[in-house]
Amino acid sequence: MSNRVSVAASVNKLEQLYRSGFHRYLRVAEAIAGNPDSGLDAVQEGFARAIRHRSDFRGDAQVSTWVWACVVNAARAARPQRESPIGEELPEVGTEESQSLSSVRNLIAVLPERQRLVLFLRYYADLDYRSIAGVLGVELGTVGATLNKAHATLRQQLEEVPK
Amino acid sequence: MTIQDDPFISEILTSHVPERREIAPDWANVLRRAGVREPWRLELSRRRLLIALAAILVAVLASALAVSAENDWWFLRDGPFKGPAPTGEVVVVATGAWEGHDWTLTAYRTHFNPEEEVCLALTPSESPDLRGRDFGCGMIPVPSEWKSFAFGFTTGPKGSGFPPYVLASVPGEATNVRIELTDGKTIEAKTFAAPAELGLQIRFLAAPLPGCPNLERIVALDDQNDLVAQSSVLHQPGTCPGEHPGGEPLPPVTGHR
Repeated sequence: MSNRVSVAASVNKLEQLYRSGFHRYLRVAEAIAGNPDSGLDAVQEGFARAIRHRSDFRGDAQVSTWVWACVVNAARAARPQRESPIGEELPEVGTEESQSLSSVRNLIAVLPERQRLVLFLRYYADLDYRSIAGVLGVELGTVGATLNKAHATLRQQLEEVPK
Repeated sequence: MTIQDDPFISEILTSHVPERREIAPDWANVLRRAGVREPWRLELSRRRLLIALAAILVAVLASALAVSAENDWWFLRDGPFKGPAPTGEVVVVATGAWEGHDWTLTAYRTHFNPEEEVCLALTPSESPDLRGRDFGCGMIPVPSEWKSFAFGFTTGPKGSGFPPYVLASVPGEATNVRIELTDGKTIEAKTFAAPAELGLQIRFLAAPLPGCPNLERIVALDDQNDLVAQSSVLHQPGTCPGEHPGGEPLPPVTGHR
Protein backbone atom coordinates (compact mmCIF):
# COMPACT_ATOMS: atom_id res chain seq x y z
CA MET A 1 0.00 0.00 0.00
CA SER A 2 1.13 3.51 -0.40
CA ASN A 3 -0.32 6.94 -0.29
CA ARG A 4 -2.19 8.15 -3.32
CA VAL A 5 -0.01 11.22 -3.47
CA SER A 6 2.44 9.65 -5.84
CA VAL A 7 0.00 7.71 -8.00
CA ALA A 8 0.41 9.85 -11.12
CA ALA A 9 4.17 9.77 -10.75
CA SER A 10 4.01 6.00 -10.43
CA VAL A 11 2.37 5.61 -13.83
CA ASN A 12 5.05 7.79 -15.34
CA LYS A 13 7.70 5.74 -13.62
CA LEU A 14 6.13 2.53 -14.88
CA GLU A 15 6.06 3.90 -18.41
CA GLN A 16 9.70 4.85 -18.07
CA LEU A 17 10.62 1.34 -16.92
CA TYR A 18 8.53 -0.19 -19.68
CA ARG A 19 10.09 1.84 -22.46
CA SER A 20 13.66 1.58 -21.22
CA GLY A 21 13.57 -2.14 -20.45
CA PHE A 22 10.99 -3.45 -22.88
CA HIS A 23 13.25 -5.91 -24.70
CA ARG A 24 14.69 -7.28 -21.46
CA TYR A 25 11.20 -7.87 -20.07
CA LEU A 26 10.22 -9.46 -23.37
CA ARG A 27 13.25 -11.74 -23.43
CA VAL A 28 12.61 -13.03 -19.91
CA ALA A 29 8.85 -13.34 -20.37
CA GLU A 30 9.32 -15.29 -23.60
CA ALA A 31 11.75 -17.60 -21.89
CA ILE A 32 9.38 -18.22 -18.97
CA ALA A 33 6.19 -18.47 -20.99
CA GLY A 34 7.81 -20.72 -23.54
CA ASN A 35 6.78 -18.93 -26.71
CA PRO A 36 7.08 -15.43 -28.18
CA ASP A 37 3.39 -14.55 -28.36
CA SER A 38 2.69 -15.53 -24.77
CA GLY A 39 5.84 -13.69 -23.71
CA LEU A 40 4.72 -10.45 -25.32
CA ASP A 41 1.27 -10.88 -23.84
CA ALA A 42 2.84 -11.44 -20.42
CA VAL A 43 4.87 -8.23 -20.60
CA GLN A 44 1.80 -6.21 -21.54
CA GLU A 45 -0.33 -7.90 -18.90
CA GLY A 46 2.39 -7.64 -16.26
CA PHE A 47 2.63 -3.89 -16.72
CA ALA A 48 -1.16 -3.53 -16.89
CA ARG A 49 -1.32 -5.36 -13.57
CA ALA A 50 1.40 -3.12 -12.19
CA ILE A 51 -0.71 -0.09 -13.10
CA ARG A 52 -3.85 -1.57 -11.61
CA HIS A 53 -2.05 -2.38 -8.38
CA ARG A 54 0.38 0.52 -8.35
CA SER A 55 -0.82 1.51 -4.92
CA ASP A 56 0.61 -1.73 -3.55
CA PHE A 57 4.20 -0.68 -3.63
CA ARG A 58 5.86 2.08 -1.69
CA GLY A 59 7.91 4.79 -3.25
CA ASP A 60 10.89 3.87 -1.15
CA ALA A 61 10.90 0.26 -2.34
CA GLN A 62 12.47 -0.81 -5.60
CA VAL A 63 9.76 -0.18 -8.15
CA SER A 64 11.72 -2.02 -10.80
CA THR A 65 11.86 -5.14 -8.64
CA TRP A 66 8.14 -5.02 -8.08
CA VAL A 67 7.51 -4.59 -11.80
CA TRP A 68 9.72 -7.55 -12.57
CA ALA A 69 7.62 -9.62 -10.16
CA CYS A 70 4.46 -8.56 -12.02
CA VAL A 71 5.94 -9.55 -15.38
CA VAL A 72 7.35 -12.82 -14.09
CA ASN A 73 4.03 -13.76 -12.51
CA ALA A 74 2.17 -12.93 -15.72
CA ALA A 75 4.64 -15.03 -17.72
CA ARG A 76 4.32 -17.92 -15.27
CA ALA A 77 0.56 -17.77 -15.64
CA ALA A 78 0.96 -17.89 -19.42
CA ARG A 79 3.17 -20.95 -19.35
CA PRO A 80 1.49 -24.26 -20.22
CA GLN A 81 0.88 -26.28 -17.07
CA ARG A 82 3.39 -29.03 -17.58
CA GLU A 83 6.35 -29.09 -15.29
CA SER A 84 9.21 -31.53 -15.51
CA PRO A 85 10.93 -31.84 -12.17
CA ILE A 86 14.61 -32.34 -12.32
CA GLY A 87 15.62 -35.98 -12.34
CA GLU A 88 13.14 -36.91 -15.00
CA GLU A 89 14.35 -37.98 -18.38
CA LEU A 90 16.03 -35.15 -20.21
CA PRO A 91 15.42 -34.58 -23.88
CA GLU A 92 17.96 -36.03 -26.26
CA VAL A 93 20.61 -33.64 -27.46
CA GLY A 94 21.96 -34.32 -30.92
CA THR A 95 25.71 -34.40 -31.47
CA GLU A 96 25.67 -31.84 -34.22
CA GLU A 97 23.56 -29.50 -32.28
CA SER A 98 25.35 -29.92 -29.01
CA GLN A 99 25.37 -26.65 -27.13
CA SER A 100 23.12 -25.17 -29.75
CA LEU A 101 20.36 -22.81 -28.89
CA SER A 102 17.71 -25.50 -28.85
CA SER A 103 19.74 -27.95 -26.78
CA VAL A 104 20.55 -25.37 -24.13
CA ARG A 105 16.94 -24.32 -24.03
CA ASN A 106 15.87 -27.94 -23.71
CA LEU A 107 18.20 -28.43 -20.80
CA ILE A 108 16.92 -25.31 -19.10
CA ALA A 109 13.33 -26.28 -19.81
CA VAL A 110 13.52 -29.35 -17.62
CA LEU A 111 15.00 -27.59 -14.61
CA PRO A 112 12.66 -27.00 -11.67
CA GLU A 113 10.75 -23.78 -12.04
CA ARG A 114 12.61 -21.79 -9.41
CA GLN A 115 15.96 -22.67 -10.96
CA ARG A 116 14.71 -21.63 -14.39
CA LEU A 117 13.40 -18.34 -13.07
CA VAL A 118 16.64 -17.55 -11.27
CA LEU A 119 18.65 -18.33 -14.42
CA PHE A 120 16.44 -16.15 -16.62
CA LEU A 121 16.51 -13.26 -14.19
CA ARG A 122 20.25 -13.49 -13.73
CA TYR A 123 21.37 -14.03 -17.32
CA TYR A 124 18.57 -12.66 -19.49
CA ALA A 125 17.51 -9.75 -17.26
CA ASP A 126 20.95 -9.18 -15.72
CA LEU A 127 19.47 -8.65 -12.25
CA ASP A 128 21.68 -8.89 -9.19
CA TYR A 129 20.99 -11.42 -6.43
CA ARG A 130 19.20 -8.95 -4.20
CA SER A 131 16.81 -7.93 -6.95
CA ILE A 132 16.16 -11.56 -7.87
CA ALA A 133 15.37 -12.31 -4.22
CA GLY A 134 12.90 -9.42 -4.25
CA VAL A 135 11.25 -10.53 -7.48
CA LEU A 136 10.81 -14.11 -6.33
CA GLY A 137 10.08 -13.29 -2.69
CA VAL A 138 12.85 -15.53 -1.39
CA GLU A 139 15.86 -15.08 0.84
CA LEU A 140 19.06 -13.71 -0.62
CA GLY A 141 20.87 -16.95 0.22
CA THR A 142 18.23 -18.97 -1.58
CA VAL A 143 19.05 -17.18 -4.80
CA GLY A 144 22.72 -18.13 -4.59
CA ALA A 145 21.93 -21.71 -3.64
CA THR A 146 19.35 -22.09 -6.40
CA LEU A 147 21.70 -20.62 -8.97
CA ASN A 148 24.50 -22.94 -7.87
CA LYS A 149 22.21 -25.92 -8.18
CA ALA A 150 21.12 -24.84 -11.66
CA HIS A 151 24.73 -24.27 -12.70
CA ALA A 152 25.76 -27.70 -11.46
CA THR A 153 22.92 -29.45 -13.25
CA LEU A 154 23.49 -27.59 -16.50
CA ARG A 155 27.22 -28.10 -16.37
CA GLN A 156 26.76 -31.81 -15.82
CA GLN A 157 24.27 -32.10 -18.68
CA LEU A 158 26.37 -30.01 -21.04
CA GLU A 159 29.50 -32.00 -20.28
CA GLU A 160 27.64 -35.21 -20.97
CA VAL A 161 26.76 -34.04 -24.45
CA PRO A 162 28.88 -35.98 -26.99
CA LYS A 163 31.53 -33.81 -28.54
CA MET B 1 26.43 -10.33 -1.73
CA THR B 2 29.07 -10.98 -4.36
CA ILE B 3 27.83 -12.22 -7.67
CA GLN B 4 29.38 -15.59 -8.31
CA ASP B 5 28.42 -16.62 -11.79
CA ASP B 6 29.78 -19.80 -13.23
CA PRO B 7 31.91 -18.59 -16.18
CA PHE B 8 31.21 -21.69 -18.25
CA ILE B 9 27.46 -21.52 -17.76
CA SER B 10 27.55 -17.78 -18.05
CA GLU B 11 29.18 -17.99 -21.46
CA ILE B 12 26.78 -20.65 -22.67
CA LEU B 13 23.71 -18.80 -21.47
CA THR B 14 24.71 -15.36 -22.59
CA SER B 15 25.56 -16.71 -26.02
CA HIS B 16 22.09 -18.19 -26.13
CA VAL B 17 20.14 -15.20 -25.00
CA PRO B 18 16.98 -15.17 -27.10
CA GLU B 19 17.35 -12.87 -30.05
CA ARG B 20 15.92 -9.44 -29.72
CA ARG B 21 12.67 -9.39 -31.60
CA GLU B 22 11.76 -6.41 -33.69
CA ILE B 23 8.73 -5.49 -31.68
CA ALA B 24 8.10 -1.95 -30.60
CA PRO B 25 6.85 -1.20 -27.10
CA ASP B 26 3.12 -0.47 -27.07
CA TRP B 27 2.33 1.52 -23.93
CA ALA B 28 -1.14 2.45 -25.15
CA ASN B 29 -2.00 -1.25 -25.18
CA VAL B 30 -0.78 -1.57 -21.59
CA LEU B 31 -2.97 1.35 -20.53
CA ARG B 32 -6.00 -0.12 -22.29
CA ARG B 33 -5.48 -3.45 -20.52
CA ALA B 34 -5.16 -1.64 -17.22
CA GLY B 35 -8.40 0.21 -17.84
CA VAL B 36 -6.62 3.54 -17.90
CA ARG B 37 -7.21 6.04 -20.65
CA GLU B 38 -4.25 7.80 -22.09
CA PRO B 39 -4.92 11.39 -21.13
CA TRP B 40 -5.58 13.81 -23.99
CA ARG B 41 -3.78 11.71 -26.50
CA LEU B 42 -7.02 9.87 -27.14
CA GLU B 43 -9.10 11.03 -30.02
CA LEU B 44 -11.85 12.49 -27.87
CA SER B 45 -14.02 14.83 -29.83
CA ARG B 46 -14.95 18.09 -28.19
CA ARG B 47 -18.47 16.85 -27.58
CA ARG B 48 -17.36 13.56 -26.05
CA LEU B 49 -14.93 15.46 -23.90
CA LEU B 50 -17.69 17.71 -22.55
CA ILE B 51 -19.91 14.70 -21.86
CA ALA B 52 -17.06 12.99 -20.06
CA LEU B 53 -16.35 16.09 -17.97
CA ALA B 54 -20.02 16.44 -17.07
CA ALA B 55 -20.17 12.78 -16.03
CA ILE B 56 -17.07 13.17 -13.90
CA LEU B 57 -18.54 16.28 -12.26
CA VAL B 58 -21.79 14.48 -11.45
CA ALA B 59 -19.87 11.49 -10.09
CA VAL B 60 -17.67 13.68 -7.92
CA LEU B 61 -20.66 15.60 -6.53
CA ALA B 62 -22.60 12.42 -5.84
CA SER B 63 -19.58 10.88 -4.21
CA ALA B 64 -18.95 13.95 -2.08
CA LEU B 65 -22.57 14.07 -0.93
CA ALA B 66 -22.54 10.37 -0.12
CA VAL B 67 -19.50 10.49 2.07
CA SER B 68 -19.97 13.85 3.71
CA ALA B 69 -22.69 12.77 6.13
CA GLU B 70 -21.00 9.90 7.91
CA ASN B 71 -17.50 9.63 6.56
CA ASP B 72 -15.86 12.87 7.50
CA TRP B 73 -12.51 11.25 8.03
CA TRP B 74 -9.37 13.15 7.17
CA PHE B 75 -8.53 10.69 4.40
CA LEU B 76 -11.83 11.35 2.64
CA ARG B 77 -11.56 15.12 2.62
CA ASP B 78 -10.65 17.08 -0.46
CA GLY B 79 -6.97 17.73 -0.74
CA PRO B 80 -3.77 16.10 -1.81
CA PHE B 81 -4.13 13.17 0.57
CA LYS B 82 -7.69 12.31 -0.27
CA GLY B 83 -8.22 8.59 -0.66
CA PRO B 84 -10.50 6.92 -3.19
CA ALA B 85 -14.26 7.00 -2.55
CA PRO B 86 -15.57 4.21 -0.33
CA THR B 87 -18.02 1.69 -1.74
CA GLY B 88 -19.18 0.88 1.78
CA GLU B 89 -18.88 2.39 5.21
CA VAL B 90 -15.65 3.21 6.98
CA VAL B 91 -15.34 0.72 9.83
CA VAL B 92 -13.22 0.85 12.95
CA VAL B 93 -11.00 -2.24 13.00
CA ALA B 94 -9.19 -1.68 16.26
CA THR B 95 -8.07 0.93 18.74
CA GLY B 96 -4.96 0.95 20.87
CA ALA B 97 -2.12 3.00 22.27
CA TRP B 98 1.60 3.14 21.52
CA GLU B 99 3.93 4.95 23.89
CA GLY B 100 0.97 6.73 25.44
CA HIS B 101 -0.57 7.79 22.12
CA ASP B 102 -4.03 6.45 21.35
CA TRP B 103 -4.87 5.47 17.82
CA THR B 104 -7.78 4.18 15.78
CA LEU B 105 -7.37 1.80 12.88
CA THR B 106 -10.07 2.11 10.20
CA ALA B 107 -10.70 0.36 6.90
CA TYR B 108 -13.07 0.60 3.98
CA ARG B 109 -13.66 -0.98 0.61
CA THR B 110 -13.22 0.91 -2.61
CA HIS B 111 -13.23 0.27 -6.31
CA PHE B 112 -10.06 0.91 -8.19
CA ASN B 113 -10.87 0.25 -11.80
CA PRO B 114 -11.26 -2.56 -12.62
CA GLU B 115 -10.68 -4.26 -9.29
CA GLU B 116 -11.77 -3.93 -5.71
CA GLU B 117 -9.36 -2.68 -3.09
CA VAL B 118 -9.25 -2.15 0.63
CA CYS B 119 -8.02 1.05 2.23
CA LEU B 120 -6.52 1.27 5.68
CA ALA B 121 -5.86 4.29 7.88
CA LEU B 122 -4.33 4.84 11.26
CA THR B 123 -5.54 7.98 12.97
CA PRO B 124 -4.12 9.41 16.20
CA SER B 125 -7.07 9.82 18.53
CA GLU B 126 -5.92 12.83 20.47
CA SER B 127 -3.44 14.64 18.28
CA PRO B 128 -4.99 17.93 17.16
CA ASP B 129 -2.87 18.16 14.02
CA LEU B 130 -3.09 14.43 13.27
CA ARG B 131 0.65 13.97 13.21
CA GLY B 132 1.36 10.27 13.11
CA ARG B 133 -1.48 9.44 10.75
CA ASP B 134 -1.04 7.24 7.71
CA PHE B 135 -3.21 5.86 4.97
CA GLY B 136 -2.90 3.43 2.11
CA CYS B 137 -4.94 1.30 -0.25
CA GLY B 138 -4.13 -1.98 -1.93
CA MET B 139 -5.51 -5.11 -3.47
CA ILE B 140 -7.63 -7.33 -1.27
CA PRO B 141 -5.16 -9.93 0.00
CA VAL B 142 -5.82 -13.55 -0.78
CA PRO B 143 -3.62 -16.58 -0.16
CA SER B 144 -1.78 -17.52 -3.32
CA GLU B 145 0.35 -20.42 -4.37
CA TRP B 146 3.18 -18.03 -5.08
CA LYS B 147 2.89 -16.45 -1.61
CA SER B 148 4.81 -13.35 -2.49
CA PHE B 149 3.55 -9.83 -2.97
CA ALA B 150 0.26 -11.19 -1.73
CA PHE B 151 -0.58 -8.16 0.33
CA GLY B 152 0.18 -4.50 0.58
CA PHE B 153 1.66 -2.57 3.44
CA THR B 154 2.47 0.94 4.44
CA THR B 155 4.58 2.41 7.20
CA GLY B 156 3.64 5.29 9.39
CA PRO B 157 5.42 8.60 9.86
CA LYS B 158 7.99 9.17 12.52
CA GLY B 159 8.86 12.29 14.42
CA SER B 160 5.28 12.65 15.56
CA GLY B 161 5.44 11.21 19.05
CA PHE B 162 4.31 7.99 17.47
CA PRO B 163 6.86 5.27 16.95
CA PRO B 164 7.37 4.19 13.33
CA TYR B 165 4.79 1.55 12.54
CA VAL B 166 3.64 -0.78 9.83
CA LEU B 167 0.10 -1.26 8.56
CA ALA B 168 -0.99 -4.07 6.30
CA SER B 169 -3.99 -6.02 5.18
CA VAL B 170 -3.29 -9.75 5.11
CA PRO B 171 -5.21 -12.86 4.04
CA GLY B 172 -7.87 -14.07 6.48
CA GLU B 173 -5.82 -17.08 7.53
CA ALA B 174 -2.96 -14.90 8.76
CA THR B 175 -3.51 -14.59 12.49
CA ASN B 176 0.12 -13.66 13.11
CA VAL B 177 2.73 -11.65 11.33
CA ARG B 178 6.48 -11.81 11.61
CA ILE B 179 8.25 -8.60 10.65
CA GLU B 180 11.87 -9.21 9.71
CA LEU B 181 14.35 -6.38 10.00
CA THR B 182 17.59 -6.04 8.08
CA ASP B 183 19.60 -6.27 11.30
CA GLY B 184 18.32 -9.83 11.76
CA LYS B 185 15.81 -9.00 14.46
CA THR B 186 12.20 -10.03 14.14
CA ILE B 187 8.98 -8.67 15.57
CA GLU B 188 5.95 -10.88 16.11
CA ALA B 189 2.50 -9.32 16.05
CA LYS B 190 -1.08 -10.53 16.20
CA THR B 191 -3.43 -9.36 13.47
CA PHE B 192 -6.92 -7.88 13.89
CA ALA B 193 -9.97 -9.52 12.34
CA ALA B 194 -11.90 -7.46 9.83
CA PRO B 195 -15.24 -6.34 11.26
CA ALA B 196 -18.22 -8.17 9.73
CA GLU B 197 -19.54 -4.92 8.20
CA LEU B 198 -16.55 -4.89 5.91
CA GLY B 199 -17.65 -8.18 4.36
CA LEU B 200 -14.10 -9.39 3.70
CA GLN B 201 -12.32 -12.47 4.98
CA ILE B 202 -9.12 -10.63 5.70
CA ARG B 203 -7.22 -9.40 8.74
CA PHE B 204 -5.23 -6.30 9.49
CA LEU B 205 -1.85 -5.58 10.95
CA ALA B 206 -0.92 -2.46 12.91
CA ALA B 207 2.35 -2.83 14.76
CA PRO B 208 4.89 -0.37 16.15
CA LEU B 209 8.53 -0.73 15.14
CA PRO B 210 11.53 -0.11 17.36
CA GLY B 211 13.69 2.92 16.57
CA CYS B 212 14.28 3.40 12.90
CA PRO B 213 14.67 -0.12 11.52
CA ASN B 214 14.94 -1.15 7.91
CA LEU B 215 12.32 -3.70 7.03
CA GLU B 216 13.48 -6.77 5.18
CA ARG B 217 10.31 -8.79 4.85
CA ILE B 218 6.83 -9.14 6.27
CA VAL B 219 5.65 -12.71 6.69
CA ALA B 220 2.01 -13.60 7.34
CA LEU B 221 1.49 -16.84 9.28
CA ASP B 222 -1.57 -18.89 10.17
CA ASP B 223 -2.33 -20.21 13.64
CA GLN B 224 -0.12 -23.24 12.96
CA ASN B 225 2.71 -20.85 12.16
CA ASP B 226 2.66 -21.87 8.50
CA LEU B 227 3.43 -19.30 5.83
CA VAL B 228 0.36 -17.73 4.24
CA ALA B 229 1.91 -14.84 2.37
CA GLN B 230 4.97 -12.67 2.39
CA SER B 231 6.07 -9.36 1.06
CA SER B 232 9.62 -8.25 0.45
CA VAL B 233 10.18 -4.68 1.44
CA LEU B 234 13.60 -3.85 0.10
CA HIS B 235 14.02 -0.44 1.63
CA GLN B 236 16.80 1.47 0.08
CA PRO B 237 19.73 1.85 2.43
CA GLY B 238 19.25 4.65 4.90
CA THR B 239 15.51 4.91 4.38
CA CYS B 240 13.44 4.86 7.53
CA PRO B 241 9.95 3.42 7.62
CA GLY B 242 7.65 6.38 7.79
CA GLU B 243 9.62 8.56 5.45
CA HIS B 244 7.31 9.06 2.57
CA PRO B 245 8.45 9.18 -1.05
CA GLY B 246 10.63 12.16 -1.53
CA GLY B 247 11.50 12.19 2.16
CA GLU B 248 8.68 14.57 2.97
CA PRO B 249 6.56 13.69 5.98
CA LEU B 250 2.81 14.19 5.70
CA PRO B 251 1.99 17.78 6.65
CA PRO B 252 -0.35 18.33 9.58
CA VAL B 253 -4.09 18.74 9.17
CA THR B 254 -6.66 19.64 11.76
CA GLY B 255 -9.36 17.40 13.20
CA HIS B 256 -9.91 13.82 12.22
CA ARG B 257 -13.68 13.83 11.85
